[in-house]
Formats: sequence, C-alpha cells, structure tokens
Amino acid sequence: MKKIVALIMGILLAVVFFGGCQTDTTSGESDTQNESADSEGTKYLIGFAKGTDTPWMAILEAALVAKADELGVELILTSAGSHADKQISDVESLLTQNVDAIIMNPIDREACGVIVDTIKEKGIPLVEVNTFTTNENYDVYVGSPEEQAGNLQAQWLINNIGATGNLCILYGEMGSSGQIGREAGLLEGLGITVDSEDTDKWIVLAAQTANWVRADAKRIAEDWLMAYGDQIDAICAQDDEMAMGALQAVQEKNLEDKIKVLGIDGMQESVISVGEGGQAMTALQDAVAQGETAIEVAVKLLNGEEVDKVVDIPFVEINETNYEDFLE
Amino acid sequence: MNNRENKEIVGNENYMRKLSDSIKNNFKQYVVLFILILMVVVLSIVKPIFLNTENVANVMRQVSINMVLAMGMTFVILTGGIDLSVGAIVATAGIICGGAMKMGMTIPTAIILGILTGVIFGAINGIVIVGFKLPPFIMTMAMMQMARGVGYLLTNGNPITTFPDAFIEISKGGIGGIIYYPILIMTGVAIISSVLLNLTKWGRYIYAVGGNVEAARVSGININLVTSLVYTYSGLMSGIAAVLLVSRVNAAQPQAGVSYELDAIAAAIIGGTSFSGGIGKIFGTVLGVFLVGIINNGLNLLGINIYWQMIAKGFVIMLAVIIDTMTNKKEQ
Repeated sequence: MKKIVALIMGILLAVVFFGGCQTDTTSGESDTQNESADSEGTKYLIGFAKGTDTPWMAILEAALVAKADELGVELILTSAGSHADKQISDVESLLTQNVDAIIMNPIDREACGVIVDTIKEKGIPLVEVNTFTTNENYDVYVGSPEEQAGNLQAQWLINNIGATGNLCILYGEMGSSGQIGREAGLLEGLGITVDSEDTDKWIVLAAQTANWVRADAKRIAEDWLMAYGDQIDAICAQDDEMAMGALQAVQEKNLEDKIKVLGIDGMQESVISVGEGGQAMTALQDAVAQGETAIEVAVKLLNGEEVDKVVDIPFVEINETNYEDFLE
Repeated sequence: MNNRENKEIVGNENYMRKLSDSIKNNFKQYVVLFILILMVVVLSIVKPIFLNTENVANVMRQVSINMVLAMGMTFVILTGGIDLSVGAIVATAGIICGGAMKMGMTIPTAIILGILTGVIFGAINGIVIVGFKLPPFIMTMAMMQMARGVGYLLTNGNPITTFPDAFIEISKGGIGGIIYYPILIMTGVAIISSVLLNLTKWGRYIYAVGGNVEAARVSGININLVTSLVYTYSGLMSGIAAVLLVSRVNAAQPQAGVSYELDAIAAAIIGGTSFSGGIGKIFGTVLGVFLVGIINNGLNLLGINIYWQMIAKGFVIMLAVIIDTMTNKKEQ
C-alpha cells in the first residue's frame, strides 16, 4: 500500500514538474520577445494577457506579435489557459513589470471585471480583444459583434433565396452571448421575430437548441425534415458544428438542392463543404485583423490619440465565390 | 430426508417470493409501457406523420446510441453502482477509432481498436473500484476527467473528420433502406444483455450483489469479479456506442458525448431500475430509452417551444422515480 501511495505521489510530482516546465517555456518566450524588442530600442512595453489556447487564438496572437514587431513595441505574453483566476494573477504580474498598456482577452465577462478596475487604478490603457467584460471601464474593445454574424446569414438568405421563405434555426447553448447575439442579428436582418407570421417575409418554422453539438443538430434536423419536409428553405445553424450535423441530415434525404444550410465560424470542414457545394455559407471572425488592430489601438492610446470605445472588426462571409482564400 | 424437505420448503418460499417480486417489479414496467403507448397514440392522432415508417426508423436510429449505453448502465446500476465516465469514454474511443482509420488502418481494425479502448477504460474503472474500495461515483467521475483528457491530448482539441464511405454506411445503410444497421446493432446488444442478465451465473450474481452485498459475499460469490466485469461491460458498450456515433456524425471529437451518461441513467431509471441496486430489467430500460427518444422526436414534430421540451423531459424522469418509490413503499 505504501509503495502504491509513493507511486501516486511520484506521478503527481512528475505532473507538477512538467506543468511547471511548460509555464517556464511560455515565460521564456516572452523573455526572448523582450530582448528582440529591446535591441530595436523601442518606447512602449505592452502586456498581452491571453485567455484561451484555441487554434483560432493562436492566429490572433501571431498577428499581434508580428504587428508589435513592426511597430517596434515591446511585448510580454501571458496565457491563462481558460482559467479566470490565472488571468487575474497574470495581469497582476504584468503590472509589477510596469507595462505601459495591457491588451486582454478576458475569459469571463464577470470574473475578469475585477482586473479591469485593478488596471485602471494604475492609470494605464486597457484594450480588450475578442471578448469583453461587463465592467465597462476598459478603454477600447476590439472584436466582432455576434449580431453581425447572424446578420450575414440574413443577408445571404435574402440575396440568394429571396425576400420570403421558411426557416429553421439551430441555437447554440441557450443564454450564451453567441446564441443571443447571433439570433438577434439574424432576426433583425430579416425584419422578423421568431413568432411572426407575416408571409411577405421569412417565417421561422421551428427553432431548437442543439447546444453547439453536431450529433444533436443532426437528430433535430432529421425530425424537422419529417415534420416540414421540403417546406423548409433554409436551416440557419449558429455555428459550423451544428451546420455540419444538419447538412448530413439534409444530404441523407437528398434534399441539399432544396434546403440550404448556413453556419458561422469558418471551421475548416465547413469551408471545404462550401467549396463542394454542401454548406451554403459560413462567417469567420477575422483573427488577424483583431490581433493587429488591438496592438495598433493600444499604441494610439499611448500616443494620446482618440479611439472609439468599440472597434468593430467585421465578420468575413465565406461562400462559394471566395472559399478558396480560406482553405488551409 | 429431513434435509431434502427443508430444501423443498425453502425452494417453495423462494419461488413464491420470486413470483410476487416479479409482479411488483413488472408493475413499474407496465406503467412505463402504458405511458409509452399513451404517448404513441396521442402523437399519432395529433401528428399522423409520427407513425410514418420513415419517422419510426428515424427514432430507432436516433435512440440507438443511448440504447447501447443504457444497457451497460443498467448492469452497473443493478450492482448499486453508477458510471459517470460513459460520455467521456465514448469521445476517446471514437477518437482512437477515427484516428486509426486516418492512419490508414482497415475499417474492422479501427472498429476493434475503438471498442477495445472502451473495454480498457471500463476495466480500469472496475479494477480501481474493487481494488481500492473506491465509491463508483468518485472513480467514474475521475475517469470522466481522465478519459476526456486523453481525448484532448490525442487531438489537441481538433476534430478528426471525413471517413471512408464504407464506415459511414454503418449508420446510414441498412436492409431494405429502412432497417438501418444501428437498429440491428442495438437490438442485438439488448438481446445479448438480457440473456447475460437472465440466463448466466454472472447475471444472477449481479442481482445478488446489488440486492445485498453481504448476503452475496456469504454465499461465496466473487463480488470483486462480478463488479469489475460490470464496469468493463459498460466500457464495452461505450466502445460500441463510440463507433456508432463517429459513423453517424462523420467526425470524432474530444468534446463529443457530453452528458451521454445522464441520458443512459435516465433511461435505466425511467425503465424501473432501482437506484439502490438489485431491481431492474433490460426490457424496462429498452422502454425507458424509447420513452426519452419519443419525447424528443414528438416534441420536435409538434414544434413545441424548447423550454417546454426541457421541462417535459425532466418531468417524465421525476414521474418515473415517484412511481419507483411508491411501488417500493408498497413492497415494504
């Protein structure tokens, strides 16, 4: 028994050790970043407190780092790995390193609000990128409004199918900012509500949540195809995962010519599907533009220039005409 | 002589008790069956398309994954345990299966590897639970984290997609275009599970362990073996479900299968399996799976507001447990 306990402790130690090493490498990276910037003799030192480690965020970070290089800005990078408490201590350590400004990608709307006040007490500029806090004391938010993604779907429907039609909506997780914003944008773009029955406009036949899950989306779409059949003109999924699920259901019933499936996110599988004439469209948040703009805005603030409180980076629509630009 | 008479008396008493037990146990299932039939009748009147062969085949295919998982879950709950790691194991077994295909292995090899992954995770659950006397809730909760972690580690969070057509055919194809393979698979799994529970020693021991561990121990049953095999069986079911899921959505994803364990538990409980172990039948679980599946399908066909759907599902589970406790009270 003692041996087993010792073994378990050993494994735990090893995990902690390797975990520790990993954090070391990240801070190592930021050191080299420091040095390279130092050698160019720059004026500003900016901290970037990254929240999540998604592939998409990696693109944003790379664009931000490249732009910082170009502008001759020193950069310190931290990564919170989706933990709000880690992000709070990340920002505290950035502040002790006397950064001139902070760019943050807040993980949690509420929890990260504390950080906003801490930073503003220091009197330095704070730029939030991609996500924002409910605490509105930040200087600038650079991001893509969720409403706009839904709006792109609405425009696609009107331009490619017409002013009227029957629509089903696959929601993401109910109450999430994506679900609320994308629905509002879609309905506003079509000038309707979920319950409206104005036959001069689009009509929502059914709306249901698949919680961003592909398998659930497929099941729900199958049920809709039974209930409404080819009455449906389009299924608007609030992300590409669910769009892929709905598309599979539509294709299995050989209805892909009659029923169009729309998504959001620009997931690679969906981009390929758009090229093959499967999914009708998707919309991508522009990671490069968000990263570059965030650092530009931070420098502008440090130079004392006026910047709007919210800087919108438009979603990019990916359809059959431009999908090739987005294939990896 | 004396001895033999005694045995006969004990045997008779046992028989009488079994008979009355069986009536009481089946009562729960009759109630579920009644609710199920009532729902089918109402739905087919309100929405005739419900009984359309295509829709029936749809529902059968939609419930197939939960059916397979609920079989394993019934075994586990019968021993008085619980398996919370089912969904996570489905995800990771799916990734192994999908990854194997992407690495150029043949489809049968990939399927076997996927199923084997489930078996291994399940066996680990079982061995640790009996070896260290860990509460099943804790161990399988830990496994839920670990198995999903492995899935993320293997894929870096990215989905593995686009598999050979022959593999997709597992979920899409079928005999006569209407008896889909998943329906055949779930039927096979249900029959095998029922045979294992009713006609093998292991099955009887499962009921014995769940009914009264001490009595089972005294009568010489190898409780550790019976219990660890139960979790292995649940792992096997997760492996099979993983193959069905990956084939159905043409993607293996580390975030797949979230809360599948809850659907499986719900089906078993609705079907009359007692949470404290020892009581329950495969037939009941089959009814439970269909009840949940028909609620989902029916409410979608009727176009009922999603919030009402959540309330309806929760209500049925609550109702089932109320019936369960009420019949248990009667027994006492």
